[in-house]
Amino acid sequence: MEMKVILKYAGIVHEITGKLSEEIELGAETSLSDILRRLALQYGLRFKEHVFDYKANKPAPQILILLNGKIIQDYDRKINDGDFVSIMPMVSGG
Amino acid sequence: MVEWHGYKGKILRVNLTKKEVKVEELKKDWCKLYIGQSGFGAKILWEEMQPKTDPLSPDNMLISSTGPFTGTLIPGSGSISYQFKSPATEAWAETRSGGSFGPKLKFAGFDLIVVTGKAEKPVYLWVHDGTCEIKNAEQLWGKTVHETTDRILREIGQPEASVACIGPAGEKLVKFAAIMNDYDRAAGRTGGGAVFASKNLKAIAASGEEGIEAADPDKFYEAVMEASETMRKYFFQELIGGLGTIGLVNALNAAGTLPTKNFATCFFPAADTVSGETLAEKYLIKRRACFGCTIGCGRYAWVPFGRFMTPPHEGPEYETTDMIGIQSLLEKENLEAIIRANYLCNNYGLDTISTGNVIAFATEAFEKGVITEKDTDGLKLEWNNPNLLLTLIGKIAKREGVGNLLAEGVKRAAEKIGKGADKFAVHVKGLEVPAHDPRGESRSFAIQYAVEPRGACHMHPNWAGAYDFVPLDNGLKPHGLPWPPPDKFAETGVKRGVAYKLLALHGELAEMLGICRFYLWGGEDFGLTCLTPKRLATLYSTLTGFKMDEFELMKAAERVWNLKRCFNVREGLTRKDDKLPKRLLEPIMTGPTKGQAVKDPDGILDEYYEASGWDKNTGIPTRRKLEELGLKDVADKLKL
Repeated sequence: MEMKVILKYAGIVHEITGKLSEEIELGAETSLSDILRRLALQYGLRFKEHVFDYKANKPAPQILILLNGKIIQDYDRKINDGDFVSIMPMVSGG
Repeated sequence: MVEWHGYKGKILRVNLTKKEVKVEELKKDWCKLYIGQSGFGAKILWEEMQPKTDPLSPDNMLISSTGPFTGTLIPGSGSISYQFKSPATEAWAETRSGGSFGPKLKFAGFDLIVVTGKAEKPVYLWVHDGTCEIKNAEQLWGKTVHETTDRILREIGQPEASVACIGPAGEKLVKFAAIMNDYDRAAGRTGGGAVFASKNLKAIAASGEEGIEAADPDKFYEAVMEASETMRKYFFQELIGGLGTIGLVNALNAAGTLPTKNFATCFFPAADTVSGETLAEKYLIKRRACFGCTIGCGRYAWVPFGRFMTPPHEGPEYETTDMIGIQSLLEKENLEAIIRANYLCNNYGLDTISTGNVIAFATEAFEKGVITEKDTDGLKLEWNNPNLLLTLIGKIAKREGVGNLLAEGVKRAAEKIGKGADKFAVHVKGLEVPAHDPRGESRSFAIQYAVEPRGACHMHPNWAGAYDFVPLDNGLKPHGLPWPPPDKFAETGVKRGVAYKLLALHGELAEMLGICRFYLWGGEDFGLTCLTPKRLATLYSTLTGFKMDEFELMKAAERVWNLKRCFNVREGLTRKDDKLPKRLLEPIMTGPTKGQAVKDPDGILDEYYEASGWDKNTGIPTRRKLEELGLKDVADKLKL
């Protein structure tokens, strides 16, 4: 079954991808790390170095990955249809 | 004769009714107990102001205060803070600004100024070289902030002096009129500009050449260098320094926590049109920094041509961009209109947060038919209308037509309108909620907005997200910070009350010492590149000679935090006033955090009261807590 996930980017992630937002279609049973691996392959070495190292299965320092607004640390977690995945730099108040 | 280090040891007392100026010695035992800045303000207002004083009467007291760190080599020490009773909330008011006014006040020879009474005609104070002159300001009344500043600097003949002043909005007693300094720096919240005007006080100018002594110059210099080296690696330097606070727009939008359309939702599809990146590309001239600042978050921008043409000036900040632009859904020529709006607010002397909030409220009221063209002088209020927005700013500042209603602030405007308008009046205690949302960013904001003595504030006492929005410990682990932080949406059962108490006290330290709060945020995992309580204690002890460790400093912060609470209790505020607005209990409508709402505000508050030693039913600090803090006399006065 096809699922739709909405990706939101900011900061260096916006710079590397050239986008603030995109939608991707995935099969069922896709995990967060599957999505991040796919993005790393799509956007190349800069994504792997500065955003998410898919070999080590962890984000670069100062990168936050949110699922529907929540900080996620379990990247093997399965994604649902209509989920938002935000990949962004850590931000302060102001 | 007392030798003072860090402090100047002098309080300037100005009675405008009697045209009297006196200098009094700062009490030495106040330093370790209340530290400085709003700590001293809290002590003075508690002891000297009568409860139920009319905030716009001559009996209100206006305190302009600095901390021991202000004006020294310590990074981030360009700070001035004002304390008074707020005309907006009828409760404790404190409002802080950067720039260089605070340091100039110290160089003029004073730790703080206490102004009482009311002048017969408009005046300004010229504070310099250990003295204060009361000068005629009749020719300045009615002038904008920029013009007032220019004229005063010319008149006193000291171009390097710093001027704090009000604009036409203050003169019209707008409930959210700001006290501006150094042209564009705003002590915006709680209506300080109206208090100035109620005293016929147009401005305070300050300058001098007095130095600030360190008790142990070698150790102090070492501590300053360590702090400065640390801050060179500040965790948020690239964001806040590189893009300015407006750099938060795209990131908070991606996270689904960008308040939009009077807090109906937290996601704005056109956010990039008003982002820090767009500002840098099209309108930025250069960066600016306050006195002694290593971060440099200030922006200096303009709109060189077009219908929103605006001269170069400082801003816009994230709060202004969201509250004035995004809350009103500006999508056409967005950022240019926001820059123009910022310039107008700075010159009228208006708090951009409250101004944006009340305009968005009025637009929603019109959309719902709760007000009509009959109430708005024929104006059709609608979203995404930059010309209308700029018109409304002018009307508010001059109290013209519907502007007169809106100038009362969103709480009073909603009360006057009735018809259920309170359901979408987004404030706490009468202070309009700013651009950080407890539903999308962190439930710690649910505590802060409820209990902060001045009302809903995102930055006083601290940025409430500096714990679980981004996992940061800020050097608070030795004080018992629960770690790791919980899910930012978790409400109870996660020791949030304990964590928030420590975050709040760390913020209070900045408010007492006289530094910018941006310096407080860092994480052990990221090198702890911030001014932790430990660093603050070393700086304080070597500067002032008053030896205090980080635990004693946090105790002093707790003392002042509770004293401010007791000021409000004396004014009749209790748990019933620690209430979140209905809008923040409704689910976010769109975006990554769709559906999030504060579900158990009472449960969250219960846990915080317990952590703080406050009575769960009344929200009043217990006698036991007050005696622990050395405030037995306060407990006696409140008959606890």
